[in-house]
Amino acid sequence: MKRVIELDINGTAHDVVISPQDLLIDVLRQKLDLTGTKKGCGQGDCGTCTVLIDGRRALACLTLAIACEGRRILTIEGMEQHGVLHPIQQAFIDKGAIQCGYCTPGMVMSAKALLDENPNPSEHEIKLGISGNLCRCTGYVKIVDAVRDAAGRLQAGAESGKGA
Amino acid sequence: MSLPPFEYLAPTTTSELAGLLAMHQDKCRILAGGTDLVNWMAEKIYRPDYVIDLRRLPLALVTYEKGKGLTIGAAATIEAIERSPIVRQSYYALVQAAGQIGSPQIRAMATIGGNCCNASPCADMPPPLITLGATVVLTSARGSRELPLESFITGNRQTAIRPDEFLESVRVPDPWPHSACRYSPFGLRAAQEIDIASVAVNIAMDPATGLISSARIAMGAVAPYAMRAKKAEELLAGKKATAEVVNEAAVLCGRECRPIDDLRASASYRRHIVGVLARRMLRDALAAITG
Repeated sequence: MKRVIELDINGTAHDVVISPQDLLIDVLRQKLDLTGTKKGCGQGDCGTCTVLIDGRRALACLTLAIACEGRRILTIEGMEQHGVLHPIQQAFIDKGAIQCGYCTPGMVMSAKALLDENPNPSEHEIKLGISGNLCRCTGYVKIVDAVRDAAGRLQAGAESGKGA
Repeated sequence: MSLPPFEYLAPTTTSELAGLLAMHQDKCRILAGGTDLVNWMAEKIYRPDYVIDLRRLPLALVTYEKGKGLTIGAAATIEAIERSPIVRQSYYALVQAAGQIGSPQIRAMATIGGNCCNASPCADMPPPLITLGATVVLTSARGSRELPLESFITGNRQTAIRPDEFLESVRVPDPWPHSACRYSPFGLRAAQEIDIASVAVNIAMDPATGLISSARIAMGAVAPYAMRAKKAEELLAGKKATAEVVNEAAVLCGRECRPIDDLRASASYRRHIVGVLARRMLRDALAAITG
């Protein structure tokens, strides 16, 4: 039975008509045209559909959209602020951490979850933080570099923010 | 991939949940983290008429009370268990098990209730929980009953839960005095692997005599359910923890388990790995007790 629910995505309330069995990944991509979040394996292994729900990592391919009512969803589209890429996104570009790009949205969201909890992770902690995201192009080295670089940018930003 | 249609229910009290289960029984499935259920619905293994989501119920807490032990709500995530200060302090094997499940994303979604009720032979939480003497609280409109986790899981993906019951919480008693618990899985890669074998140990020493006072060992992925290594446990009880005794117990574990050949490993390799893991975990636990 179809019904209307309200989803809070990237700080904006969206009314959307869904069926109870609709998955969040399909609602994002097909009903809301938020195609930044990718659908990869569709069974929770590859991590490219990673979004943050109430600040925690979630796989949109294993999440019912109807179960997200009243929760805050952050997707890759919500990372950019006022036309400026998030420091994690910029670090991925600057460090050459993007090749085909299919894993990138999920990698960026996992990096965001990691750095929100642990602003200065070790290399091992970065690897654990992205261990649920598969990349078949880069061999991960540049992705780890990018996350480390993003951590530095975010910390520098936080410090200059304090001074100002 | 799309799911077959169902009606979605999100009760807000456990009595409402019990009422829904009594009404719909085999026609419904309980949704907690969804990491197994959504996949199984997508594969049409389950086609429930009703999906009952636990998200609005107060079942996600991890609490501890001295004398009563640890209570883990059915919907507590694996991540919440891994990060719980009391679990890190007093039930370390559960941290080791939780940290090995799936990926960070899966750990943030998957729950203790799902890991126990789905009863995969290679599930990570049951072996350490069994060595710690965990019980499950099963609730229905008829009331609650408490069963040892060891007898709750009856086979490959089979449990003693009745169609009108839900798993409300997992309880773990206070740790034995002068004890330590340790867990290690073994897989073919470091992340997102499915175990080919795992071993949990919980061991207590009598500080006056220096002898092992109690030992429990459970082995995962080498039988249809996490099984106790009772011969090795008997051997250890009352003994001094020498290298010979530890070795002998580890060999008994390898003999006692009942592994199968499959695509991940042969039965004989699994027996070998069980022996290696048992030796390592016994040594680690004994070292943790003696400091």
